[in-house]
Amino acid sequence: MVEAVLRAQDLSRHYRVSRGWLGNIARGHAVVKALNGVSFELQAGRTLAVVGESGCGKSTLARQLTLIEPPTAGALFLGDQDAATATPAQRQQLRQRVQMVFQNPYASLNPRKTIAAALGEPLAINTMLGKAERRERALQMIERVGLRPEHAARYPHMFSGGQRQRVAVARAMMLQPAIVVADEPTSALDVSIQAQVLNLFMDLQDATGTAYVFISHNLSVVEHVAHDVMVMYFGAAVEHGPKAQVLGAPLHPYTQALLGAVPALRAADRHPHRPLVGELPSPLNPPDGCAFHTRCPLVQARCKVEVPLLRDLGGRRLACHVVAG
Amino acid sequence: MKALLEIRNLRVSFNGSIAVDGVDLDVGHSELLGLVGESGSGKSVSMLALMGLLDAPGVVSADALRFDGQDLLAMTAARRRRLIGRDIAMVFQDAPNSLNPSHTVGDQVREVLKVHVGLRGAALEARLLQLFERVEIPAAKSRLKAYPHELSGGMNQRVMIAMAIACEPRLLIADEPTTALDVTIQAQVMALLQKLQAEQGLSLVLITHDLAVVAEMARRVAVMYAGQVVETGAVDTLFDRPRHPYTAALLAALPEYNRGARRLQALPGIVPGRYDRPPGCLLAPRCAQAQARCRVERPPLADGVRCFCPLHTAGAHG
Repeated sequence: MVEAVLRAQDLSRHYRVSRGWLGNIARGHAVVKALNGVSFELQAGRTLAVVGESGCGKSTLARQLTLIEPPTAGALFLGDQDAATATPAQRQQLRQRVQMVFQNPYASLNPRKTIAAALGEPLAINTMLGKAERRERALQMIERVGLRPEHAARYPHMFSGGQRQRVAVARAMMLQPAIVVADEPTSALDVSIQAQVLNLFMDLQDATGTAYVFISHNLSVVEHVAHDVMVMYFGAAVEHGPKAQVLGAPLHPYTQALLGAVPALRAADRHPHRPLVGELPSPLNPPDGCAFHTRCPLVQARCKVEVPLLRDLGGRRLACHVVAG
Repeated sequence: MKALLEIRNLRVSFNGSIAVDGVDLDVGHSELLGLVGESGSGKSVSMLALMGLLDAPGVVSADALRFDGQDLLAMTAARRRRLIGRDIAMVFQDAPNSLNPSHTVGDQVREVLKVHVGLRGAALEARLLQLFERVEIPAAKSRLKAYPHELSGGMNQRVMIAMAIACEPRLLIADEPTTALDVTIQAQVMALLQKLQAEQGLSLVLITHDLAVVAEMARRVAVMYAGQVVETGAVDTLFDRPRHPYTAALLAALPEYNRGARRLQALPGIVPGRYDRPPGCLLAPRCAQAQARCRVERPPLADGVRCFCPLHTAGAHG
């Protein structure tokens, strides 16, 4: 079996939130379990897509994977080193191996830095390369992401959204990371530009073997880029496995509802509608048992008291009491 | 039957840069029209111009803007204001930011009923509650006292819709009503709009960049590019056999149309900006089919397509 470049084990992140000073004295701070025991493995050259509604913990997961925040519990192995227990110096070394592409290219680039400077900065911080060599590498990368050499001296405001996202991808690739975490990288872009940027992601993966964690709510984009899909609800995975299984033959009622809610161009692509009632429950007041039971069409008595655990089911993992297998 | 809304040669420019460049559009009675295009294509601006909501430096001109036979251009500003808001209403994209954060949502809908319908007292309260129930806000009575920040994005959008339908408009313009929402909530809001449209027989213009939403909701669609309507027609035929190269490219760029392919068919280049607006067909610099004529002469919108060499036409390319 191929060595995993990234392995998350029971990764959790809880946030303390204030109830107001009186509430804090009386009942203590409230705890929001934004991420609750997520595990997966990712091999080089593979793409894991994480899907779910806003508030399901996708972006919290991205923050753990990119070592922006330490997890509350669990382990995160980058290669064979656990980032959760690493020293600050080790964490800085590890950070070079995970880079991130953000959603909004209008906000993620420094408006006062030229493109060459923005691309050179990761090298200036993390390597001993001299100025001329940093510039040389930046120019190579500019060409690789489909921009022209004269773009190097320009500032972000001189670029369109699609070009900016190319710059953001280029910046993420500068340190030749093993993993790139992309948080909704095309949701701010138009359809025709989205296609250009997705092609860039695919070409770079073919050339470098970088593993992607691709966070998106757009299921047709996910279907295009992903090898594996993890569907999250309320901070935990509810269904996780190969794309063909999870999107092609979804078993979890939430996955089915999500697919059913996606509008499709062609009648043949439409999934049977099983519309979801209601909205995500409040994270301050999580439901007992299965987090999805408040909206689930298949809910039974057991779902309201017992949390379903992820179990293996013919190649995929599923957390549901009701679905047989 | 005459169309409810007729737009002829609508033009909008901001300080000389052209945002809407001769839009012709008809919306029939009880019709659900999808208006699609990428950002900057002029779909929102043309509807804002219709509503009279564009401020300086925006300059609006048109050969005709008729609503139910009445000429909006010839009307006094005060009369036009009375018409708009009562007979024509709009739902905006970003509900939490379109609502006033310092008033309860109940108060904001109440204001519309007072000003435009003239309701007072118990009749006002009864109508208000009825509206909230019609847009399917659960526990409607207690939600009347909520502020926008206390409600989710989907609930805020329902409040916006309640406000828009408060005066029983005949034309509702929904500008990207679900773009900021999750797919499951989007499906709920779309179902609500569809229900209202069918029940009240109102005409609905759905502005969106999401072709799939249009495919599921609308029967007729108009595709905009760089300030012009480039193609219009029935949803099924337009998506199955697009005639304008831009529509075809837009569809081809979708992952759904590239199953199994590693790369997507991307349309090269970007939308023309203020200084590089081509003299001929606006798509010519990006179009694979462009010929010499396309680069010098601008094609008219003829038979639902603005192209000299439309696809899927007998005797032509494709």
